[in-house]
Amino acid sequence: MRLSRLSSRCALPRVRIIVLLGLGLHLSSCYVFRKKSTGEGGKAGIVAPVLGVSLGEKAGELNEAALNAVHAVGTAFPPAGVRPDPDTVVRQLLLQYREPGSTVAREIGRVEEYRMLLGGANAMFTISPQETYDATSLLAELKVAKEICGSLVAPQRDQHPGWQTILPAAASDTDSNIRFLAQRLIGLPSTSIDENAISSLKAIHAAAASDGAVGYEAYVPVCATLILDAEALLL
Amino acid sequence: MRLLFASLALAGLTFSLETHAGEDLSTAMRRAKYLLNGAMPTDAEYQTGAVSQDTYHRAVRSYLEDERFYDTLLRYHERVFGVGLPEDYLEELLRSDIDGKQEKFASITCGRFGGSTKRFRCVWSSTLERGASVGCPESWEQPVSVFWYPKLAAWTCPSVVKACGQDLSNCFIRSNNEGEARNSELGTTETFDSRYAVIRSLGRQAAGLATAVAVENYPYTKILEPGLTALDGAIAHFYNQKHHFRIGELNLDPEIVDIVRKTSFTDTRFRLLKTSNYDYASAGVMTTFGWLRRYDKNRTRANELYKRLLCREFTADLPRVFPQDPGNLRVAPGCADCHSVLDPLADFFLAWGEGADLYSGRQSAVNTFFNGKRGSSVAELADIIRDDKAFATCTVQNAWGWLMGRKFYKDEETLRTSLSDYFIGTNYSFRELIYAIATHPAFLQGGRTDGVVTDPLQAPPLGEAPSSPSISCNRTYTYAADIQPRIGLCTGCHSSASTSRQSLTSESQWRTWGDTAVKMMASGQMPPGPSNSAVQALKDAVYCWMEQNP
Repeated sequence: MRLSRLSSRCALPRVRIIVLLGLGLHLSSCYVFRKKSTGEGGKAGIVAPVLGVSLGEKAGELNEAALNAVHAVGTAFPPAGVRPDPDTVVRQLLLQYREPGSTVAREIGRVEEYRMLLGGANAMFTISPQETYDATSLLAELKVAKEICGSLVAPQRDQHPGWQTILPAAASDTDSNIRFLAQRLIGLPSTSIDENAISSLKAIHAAAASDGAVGYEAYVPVCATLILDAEALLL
Repeated sequence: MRLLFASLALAGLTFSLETHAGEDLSTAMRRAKYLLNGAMPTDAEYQTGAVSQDTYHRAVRSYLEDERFYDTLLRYHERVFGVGLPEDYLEELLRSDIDGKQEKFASITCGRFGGSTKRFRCVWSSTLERGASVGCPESWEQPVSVFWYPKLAAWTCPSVVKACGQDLSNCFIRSNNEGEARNSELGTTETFDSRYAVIRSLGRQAAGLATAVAVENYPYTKILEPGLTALDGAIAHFYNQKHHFRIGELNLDPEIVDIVRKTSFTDTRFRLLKTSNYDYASAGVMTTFGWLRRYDKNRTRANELYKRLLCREFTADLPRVFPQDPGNLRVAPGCADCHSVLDPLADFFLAWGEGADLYSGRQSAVNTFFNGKRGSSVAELADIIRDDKAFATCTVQNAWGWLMGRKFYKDEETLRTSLSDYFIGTNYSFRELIYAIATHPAFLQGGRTDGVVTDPLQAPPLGEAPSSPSISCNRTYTYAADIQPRIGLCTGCHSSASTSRQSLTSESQWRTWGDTAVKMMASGQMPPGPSNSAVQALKDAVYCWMEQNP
């Protein structure tokens, strides 16, 4: 599935909806939910001053004339799709919404065993992080997505003390919550997200709810589907 | 890539690879924010940032100023340098005894013994291992603010405070929750284990140094600066553990240990530390513990710097049959193509031991060469590398690969050159290089390729000096008025009495050596120690004088 408007010309094939529904059912499980908390970075003195003796002059600043000359040198080749780093993707996702601390460390610990399957590097970097996906890394991504989505949209009091759901509305307001999740996890502007995709995400939510998922818990398969969307897999 | 398409097709998650010609600010903004800050833009950010090129440029600038840029850049450098260490490397440095009595380690174990609601306590590890009680009656315990998480009050016996200090930083800490400690970041949680924190920081030290140089906008050539290192709280804690580890065998400048003693252990980010001595065995990232231990043979060190700092590979046609004893590889047919360059380059590292003998102490200076230039130490090798444009070009290639997700095409040589010249022209500002790429029209294109570059641009050529940063010589320069008054910066070492260094005391000598001097001053190699505005003024004056008097 590609959720952006760019591919909305093609209707979602029925088989794809079935697969998504299946995925939704697969991901259903029991979660306790809490209210939202978010966190964003900000400007700061990023690094403390040099210890010891001075390191001398700083490098230069923006040189607009010279930069314009660089930008005038064109190329016919667009960028390549970039895979989010398999070693840091989980931490980065969590830290968008959660303060660093014990609960984040424990949550990362829960998916650590999948890091190498995701395509992560080993301690010495003799194995480099994978830059593309294969069947193994996609299956591992599915498992990790399920765990992380639980901690984001339907955190459990015993495993995620103090955490609340990141969803902005009551569990019954599926439209707001699904649109929010789609924007945050795919990262595109809401206006670029295809209405057909929103409809199929609602179908996944409904399937999870009818399978017994309660409240925010029914959003876990929606969240996992979004993490596995092509737009999220490659930037 | 084909596997990806196949997998996605199986899952029903197909997507279009069609190329959308032209600029797409939203797509570019999403990519820029994710790569530079590790997060996705919100709708509100799109509404202000993806409106025009100007607003997009401002958004990219804000990403470079965001504190999260440090984290993504640290990871970028970890990948570029490929340096990381497993936990057992720390054990090589463990002291087996401190006063002739075996196993007398000053280790304490910290945690909430008996449940998460119990108070946080730190006790001698040896008492826990013996299965004894936690050391002293609970009423004797006193609260201390621990160095790894100052807002935590840890309860501990007076004997522990006496030996480990008020913040416990003089002792090695073990956690009773190892699983959580492995994934904890220093300063963010009460769970801390010195073993994991120290080895992770030592493994990242080279990346941390380069990241701090780039974030603080020092010239990127400083990543190879003799006498420059980087440390965070965990490494400072480690250097303070002389009774626990053989710190002296790391060949640390005593000045570093002195400075560390006065610094905070709570720094979660690497900060730069520059000593006043010109250390010939030191060369920034290449002589961090992580680099030397990870690349533990001299040939490996040479090979890796050739690959990672100059973007070049040693490749040769191998002989069909390897001789059993090829003799001197530098001249043996089939071997010499690589080893005639690799082995002399490796000799620069002879000042350091190999493998676990890294700690065996420094050897004498060597007489070797690389890229047609002779040198006797790692510091001089760093100068040779910094003085070659290939270093700047390689940095551009690495940054381009990170942001664009692909290599340069053969047809993009002019673009690579113009980015390299811009990078050098900003006096090696890595931050401005990133800005230049993230705002380049190529980055703004909405289409995506699969990243397979079938006709890549060749490796950066060696032997080309970095062109001087653009200097406007808008008046007449003379030796007497503009250069002679400033040469005291050089003649301290380059005097007429010196037998080992070229004299730079006369006009004729400056005419002969001025070009070399300009390059060395421009790249920050000379004079030793920190560059400053006086050095820059001399460099500009010599450059203009030589331009006007060819």
